[in-house]
Amino acid sequence: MSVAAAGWLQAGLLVFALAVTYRPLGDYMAHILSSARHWRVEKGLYRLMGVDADADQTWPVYIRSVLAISVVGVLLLYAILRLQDHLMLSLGMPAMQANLAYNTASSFVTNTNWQNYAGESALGYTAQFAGLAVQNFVSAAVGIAVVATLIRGFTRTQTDRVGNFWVDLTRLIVRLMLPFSIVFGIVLIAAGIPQELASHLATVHTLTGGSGPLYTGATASQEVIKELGTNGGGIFNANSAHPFENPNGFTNWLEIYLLLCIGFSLPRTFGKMVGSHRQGYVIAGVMGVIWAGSAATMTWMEERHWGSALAVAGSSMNGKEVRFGIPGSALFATSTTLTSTGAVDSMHDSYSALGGGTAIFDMMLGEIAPGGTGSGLYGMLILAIVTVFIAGLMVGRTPEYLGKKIRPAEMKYAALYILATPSVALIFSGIAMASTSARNSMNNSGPHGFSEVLYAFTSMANNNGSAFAGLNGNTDFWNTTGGIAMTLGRFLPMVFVLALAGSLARQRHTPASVGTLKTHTPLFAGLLTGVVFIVVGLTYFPALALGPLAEGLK
Amino acid sequence: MSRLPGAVLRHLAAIRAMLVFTVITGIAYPLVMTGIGQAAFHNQADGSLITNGSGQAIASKLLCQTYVNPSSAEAALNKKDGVTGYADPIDKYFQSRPTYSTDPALGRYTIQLANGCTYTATGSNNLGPNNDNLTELITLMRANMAAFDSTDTTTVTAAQVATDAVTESGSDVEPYITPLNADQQAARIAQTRGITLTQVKALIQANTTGRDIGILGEPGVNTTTLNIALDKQYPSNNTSTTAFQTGATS
Repeated sequence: MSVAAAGWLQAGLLVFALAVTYRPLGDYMAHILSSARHWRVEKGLYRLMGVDADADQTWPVYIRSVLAISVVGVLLLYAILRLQDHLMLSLGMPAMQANLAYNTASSFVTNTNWQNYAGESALGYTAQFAGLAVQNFVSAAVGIAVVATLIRGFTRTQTDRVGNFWVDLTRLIVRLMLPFSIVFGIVLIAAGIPQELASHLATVHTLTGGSGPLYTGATASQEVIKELGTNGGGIFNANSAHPFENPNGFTNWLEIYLLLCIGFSLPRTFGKMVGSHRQGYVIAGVMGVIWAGSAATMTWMEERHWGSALAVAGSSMNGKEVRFGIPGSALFATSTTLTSTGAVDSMHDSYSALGGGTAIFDMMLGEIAPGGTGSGLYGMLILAIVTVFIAGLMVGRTPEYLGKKIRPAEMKYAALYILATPSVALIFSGIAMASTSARNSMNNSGPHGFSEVLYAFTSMANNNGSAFAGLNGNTDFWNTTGGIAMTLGRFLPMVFVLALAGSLARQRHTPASVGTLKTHTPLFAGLLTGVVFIVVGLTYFPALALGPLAEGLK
Repeated sequence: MSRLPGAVLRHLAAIRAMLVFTVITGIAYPLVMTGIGQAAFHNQADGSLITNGSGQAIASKLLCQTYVNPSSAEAALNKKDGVTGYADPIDKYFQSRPTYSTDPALGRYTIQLANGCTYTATGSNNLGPNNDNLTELITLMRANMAAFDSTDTTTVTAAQVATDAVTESGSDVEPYITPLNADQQAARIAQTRGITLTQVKALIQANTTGRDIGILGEPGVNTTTLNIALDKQYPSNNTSTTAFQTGATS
């Protein structure tokens, strides 16, 4: 079978699998987020946490709870990384230096998983398990919890209550993340990913008489939640390119599925909760079209391998693994940058200019197709609100979405949301380009060097975590500004989403009239897609022109 | 307790929640997974190790190994110390993909085969698609492989060299090469070991993995298992190497 045919079938099987799980997974998540019954084990956990599971929270209390657990999470993770040399099962790894530990703690709590360290030579088991993996679960659940409040903003009327954060968080971990991780983690072990503690440093005696340690790690348990929770932080520096994280074509495909499945099923959750499955189909459809377009573009760019070095190589295989080839690498790259995952199975820095540029553009879209767990859907719903508003301006009516009026207050929150992340990404990129020491971190020069910087802050502000990895991020400048960028890029948008949810929930329901724009039609899907590209294009085009476009169109 | 301000209560709850989830997802979960993995899929869970007759681990079938000897002039540099790894390939082994690393003394990337397959430092060169340094190394590597793979009876031109033989993998520990690359190296292996091309090709065939379920991924030849099989079936005392241009002097 030709490479192209296999590539199409591989992508087709992925779409099929996502379509099959759309309904059951989406309905299950809707059940988790709206059921009145607590599981017995959850009641026990609520007692341990000392929270009242039946108290509904206002939006300010809800966001403060989000921030509280995030602050605690950063401090705890920072302590673990700084004190690693005193903890058991640390494999003799030293304590992490202060600015790197700050960066790493911010990174994992914000679901970014940007890594300025190499896992195999920096972190032992305790830091990986009790530190990083915990945040992989918690940060992923926080994202879904926040989008749940926005959906409740549409479904509830004349109330100031948007849900209970502790209940949402606990249920998402206990009922969704944990069981899925166990099941798919076992599949990954069976497929070849290591999971062991005892012989972590088996000595390998090679054919040529050399010998060396083999770091295997308890990789599978981290790998599965790294993808499922759209986290992306690898046990190994090479991330999912490493054969222990991703040994074969099957695991590559499954990892792509895992990092997409929650994001693509959440529109069903949304449709179910607002009582119209077609509303969910529209959102999922827009996500799917953008994803498919990006996957096709990136695969094409990589197959064509424009670039002077790639022309001599005869392919864009530099930085890619033979066992995945171009189709498997491009499919992974497009999926990881359109979600907030940031795992990589090939080195994006070495992609063709426009292939790598597509990865940057994917992140600039705000990671909404389908986006990170929860964060993708709330990003898309904000854009849907903007779309309704723009359409309302055209016909001169007060815009409505799902029976809620989009008034100045709602539009302010939506506009602030739209502005927050690009501001962080572009301002920090500008600061970096003005700093000689920051520029010294580049691995390449010219437009590609600028692309490394732009990629870095776009990735961090959007909580993606992948990199043009030639950039040396482990410096005072990058560790510090990166930590700030990731924190702002995560929590500023969340505050605006919660404020919007609160504002919507207080409204009464406005019945649809003949003048109401129908938001469950292909027309609306088209409008929404257009708005996505116009908003992002206008925001980022100048920056893109200096980096990937300048290099690619040379 | 309820007299405390809401903010304090909330942070106390957050601390308790973090501890609860640390115990569940950070301690219990990985331990349970390790237990299941070790019990049900022992070989995979341990890293797919290959052992020799005396039970000593000689490889993980998922990771590549370097088959190089440092050239005499550069012997002192070949320490896999993360500084430089100049070395020449051993003729009788299939070579996995090349490694391009920085030479701090030169301030640029060079061909450093001994730095490949370093399990404690994975990752690629991250050179861009229009990078002149990369262009130079790929050109050198084409010439290297053409000379390396040409034998008394077969000629491989620089233009014919398989693309994966001149590009670094993403992880730099990948054992797989393309079937085209393996076929190209086959004549050299046969000549060095004094066996027939057919015998080599049969072993290549036996160590080739196709696409999973016919469509997932790309076919690859596992150099780690292939070289182990070669040494087992057709042992050879030949230790000849071929001098490679490294780009360090040009």
